[in-house]
Amino acid sequence: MLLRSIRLQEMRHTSREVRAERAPLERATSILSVTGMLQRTALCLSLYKKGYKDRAKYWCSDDLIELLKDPGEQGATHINSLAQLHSIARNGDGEVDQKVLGEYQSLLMELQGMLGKVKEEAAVDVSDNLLKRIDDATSRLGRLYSECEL
Amino acid sequence: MSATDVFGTYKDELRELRERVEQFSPVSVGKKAFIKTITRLVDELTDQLDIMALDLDRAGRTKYATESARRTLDLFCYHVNNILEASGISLDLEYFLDQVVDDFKVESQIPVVLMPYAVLGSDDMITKLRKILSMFLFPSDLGKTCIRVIYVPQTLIRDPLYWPLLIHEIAHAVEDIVLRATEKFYPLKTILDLDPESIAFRKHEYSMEHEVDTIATRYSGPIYVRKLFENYFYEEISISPSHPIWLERFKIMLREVHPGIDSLADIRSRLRNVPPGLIQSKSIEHLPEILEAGREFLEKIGMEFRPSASAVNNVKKKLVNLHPYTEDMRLLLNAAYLAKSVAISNLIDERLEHEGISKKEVGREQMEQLQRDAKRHYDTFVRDCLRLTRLRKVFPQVVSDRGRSSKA
Repeated sequence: MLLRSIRLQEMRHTSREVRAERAPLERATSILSVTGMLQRTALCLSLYKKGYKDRAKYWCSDDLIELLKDPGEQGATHINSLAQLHSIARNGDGEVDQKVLGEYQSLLMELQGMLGKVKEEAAVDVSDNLLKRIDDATSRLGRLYSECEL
Repeated sequence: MSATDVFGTYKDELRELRERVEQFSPVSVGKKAFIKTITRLVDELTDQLDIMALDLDRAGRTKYATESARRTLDLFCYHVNNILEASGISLDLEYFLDQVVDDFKVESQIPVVLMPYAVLGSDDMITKLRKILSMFLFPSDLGKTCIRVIYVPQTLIRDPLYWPLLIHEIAHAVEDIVLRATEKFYPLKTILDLDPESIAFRKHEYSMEHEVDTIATRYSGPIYVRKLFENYFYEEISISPSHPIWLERFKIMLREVHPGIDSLADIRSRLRNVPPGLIQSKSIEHLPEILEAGREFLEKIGMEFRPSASAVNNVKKKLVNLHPYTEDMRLLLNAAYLAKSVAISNLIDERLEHEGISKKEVGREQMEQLQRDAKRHYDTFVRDCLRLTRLRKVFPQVVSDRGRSSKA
């Protein structure tokens, strides 16, 4: 039912005909892309916390910082999709949930600031709580992925 | 279990995928680019897995990474395998598209591969792979590489007169990579712009469709408009936010058709009362400049299709009698459309004469079968001419209309 509802949303909101047919896959990539951003950040910060500063810098790539800072076409679409998916999962109306959207955006912005510091070799306090928040968000996305039968 | 152990399996999968890609028959320019890009990418991924495994173990994050690794690599292999499995779709059509990208002078920038699909469309495989890889931990730099995948329905593959419709998809790639005229005037900057309900989104999408229609029409000639009308035209019940209504699209396309080959009078007669779409073309302020950019592109590369009526007639006469023509692909396709009904009728007459049957003796069902057979023969004949036209461009000293080496 949920999947059907997502498909209906896609039929309404698609920008290209060919996209409509492959919509569930696009949704899957949206979820996994944000998961990827979070995991790359978590790896970077965990390495930093354990003293592997050079390795942390390696994972702190420009493209990741760019994605977190200004999600642009790819990131914006993904975060928007996620907020929409959360909303569909909850009540089925498919409108972008501003609260969920805000939560994702604020977490990504916070991480972007930290990665900038790692890159500039400034001191960063990577708390266990932050890593937990990242992992919680990752788990939530994993559940969303399963709930949406993607 | 360490990340090194977990990733060992994926490294084996990637090795196998690389072998399959290397065995891919590199006939077309697009396939050669596909092999080169994907093998490089697989090599990078394989190297990356070692580095990644070590760092995940150091950071104590192996358990978080395993599932994402599986999903990312499975999706990556899925998309590459899809292209590999579609490799035999149609060599003739690949030659045709190679000629188009050659004509557009974008052969090194826009390699094309084909994929059978239910809906005609296209996208950039590299953008898709970049998204997939970004899902996991791969900071892979794919640069500005592009591999355009054109999704093509079986009905369009069989009939070569429909192939000009694929030029619309190549024109999309030209806009995306070379021209960026729509992007200049109507960029999609924010999340709000990506909403199909937004004016910015519709102006962007509508302008781009009109722009690529203009390029396809001026490059292909009336055959593009004719076959688009025959296969896709309908009067919309619901209007798409991404595509202008058909009547408006045809109104713009018809302004771009070189006169004298096919007046397209039947299509023109349908355009008297064009209902308003979500946005009318006259409300898209920069549309004239965007269309002009498409025209200038073709003019600059000398690829506007402006043949004389006599040139088209001469080719038509050849084709009516099933004499091959192998000089200009666009002249061939436009003339082949105009010659089709007479050529099919000639084929049927010849067959009946060969079998010693009078036309009056043929029943309705038998005649329909004869027509189907003749149409199939004609399609094959046109496909052969198209293939030879491409070969003649690539090996001009070998292929001639007389079917023998000019050196002989």
